[in-house]
Amino acid sequence: MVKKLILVIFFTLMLNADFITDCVACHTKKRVNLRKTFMNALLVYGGENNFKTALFYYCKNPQPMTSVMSEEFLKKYLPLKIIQIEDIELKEDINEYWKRYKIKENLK
Amino acid sequence: MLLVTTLVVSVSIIYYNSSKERINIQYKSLMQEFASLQLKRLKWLHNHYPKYKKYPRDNRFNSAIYDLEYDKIFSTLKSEQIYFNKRLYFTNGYAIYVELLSDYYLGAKYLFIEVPKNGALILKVYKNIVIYGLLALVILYIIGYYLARLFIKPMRDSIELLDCFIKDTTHEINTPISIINSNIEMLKKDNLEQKDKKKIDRIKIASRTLENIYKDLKFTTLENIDKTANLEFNLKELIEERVEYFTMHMESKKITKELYLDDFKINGDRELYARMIDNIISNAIKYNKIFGKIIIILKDGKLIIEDSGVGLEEKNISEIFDRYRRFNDSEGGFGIGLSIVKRIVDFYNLDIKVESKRDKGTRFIIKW
Repeated sequence: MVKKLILVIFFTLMLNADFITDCVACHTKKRVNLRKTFMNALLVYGGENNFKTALFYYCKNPQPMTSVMSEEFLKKYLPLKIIQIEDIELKEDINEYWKRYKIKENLK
Repeated sequence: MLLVTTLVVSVSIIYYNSSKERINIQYKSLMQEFASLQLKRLKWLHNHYPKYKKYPRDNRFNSAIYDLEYDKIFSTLKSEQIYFNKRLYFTNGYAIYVELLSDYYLGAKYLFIEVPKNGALILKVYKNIVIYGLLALVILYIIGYYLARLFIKPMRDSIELLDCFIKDTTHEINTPISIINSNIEMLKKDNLEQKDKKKIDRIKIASRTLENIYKDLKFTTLENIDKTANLEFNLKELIEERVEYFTMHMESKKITKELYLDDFKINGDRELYARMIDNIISNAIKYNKIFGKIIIILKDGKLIIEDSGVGLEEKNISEIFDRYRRFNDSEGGFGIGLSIVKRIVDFYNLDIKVESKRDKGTRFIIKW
């Protein structure tokens, strides 16, 4: 039982570690608020699956037209770079992103 | 009656549907206002999340938000029935309005607004339908009744005129018939020649036929069947008396009679029973053949009068008791004789059966 618990904590930390290294580090460096970006994307893509699919597609093929980022950000960082992360890892990062900032179950 | 009822019911249905539509519009208009208000609050919360996490509530209505994948984000709805493909629906005492959002504030595509259903509105419609429907029904019935009376007045006047004529005529022919009968009875036949005797007999037969018609007409137009003088009497004696009365008729057509009568005492109006028997015997003579036969049996509470006459088609038997219904024009008459028989039979709750075969004869069976 203790072993199982240690394994779960380990994998959770590992996943978080990926999300932090893959996403948070870069976004913090660029001074982009991850929550604000999440709320902007949510306003456009709505449901969980739609949100995750759209974000995955955007990461693989970033275009100013499909971006939810601000005009200032786009001016500063054009042309947008393709995120060089393995698909499986990217999907896990997006799942973690949704899990951290989702609205459902957090409203009172 | 049917037309008026159909008219009132149709108007009620139209009124109900239009009222329902009006109520729906009222609900929709009110709930659209609430939806617009709630949308502003959702927008504000979206922009201030997560500093503020409290879902906006209003004591005038309940609400819920669902995402485009039909997943519930948050709900304060009382009703559990959720339909995404309707704009306004009613369920479990609530009216629910569904607003589709173009911007997914808090990830919501569907905004549900719920208010308690106001039963008084539809109750008022039902009340109006019952009150005004009944009122319209009564008024239309009264108008219909007067119009019907107005339209059938000429026909009613003609019938009344005809009734009066028949009553007056019936009353007037009584005296001459009585005079003819009494004078024939007074004639001394012994002094007459054979040739004249025959002539007198024919007059007697004719006058008795006339007397019979008079009695039937009197019974049909002037007498009230309920005013009867019920007494106990022997039916056998009455039958013998009536057969004797018709003997001359029978002889004129060379008809032979066979009587098998037991004593049978019954309680009833002797005159009514005489009418019943007279009409059956009269028909048995009228529609019999020359040298025919009439058999009358009274046994075990059953009276059978059978003739060897022209008979009837099977299909006509059921109509035999209808007034003015005649199946043979070769003989005179009004077609009221058997309808009188039926009235008397029904009045005394007797059972009557008719058996008849074309060219074989007819049999009447009456059971007590």
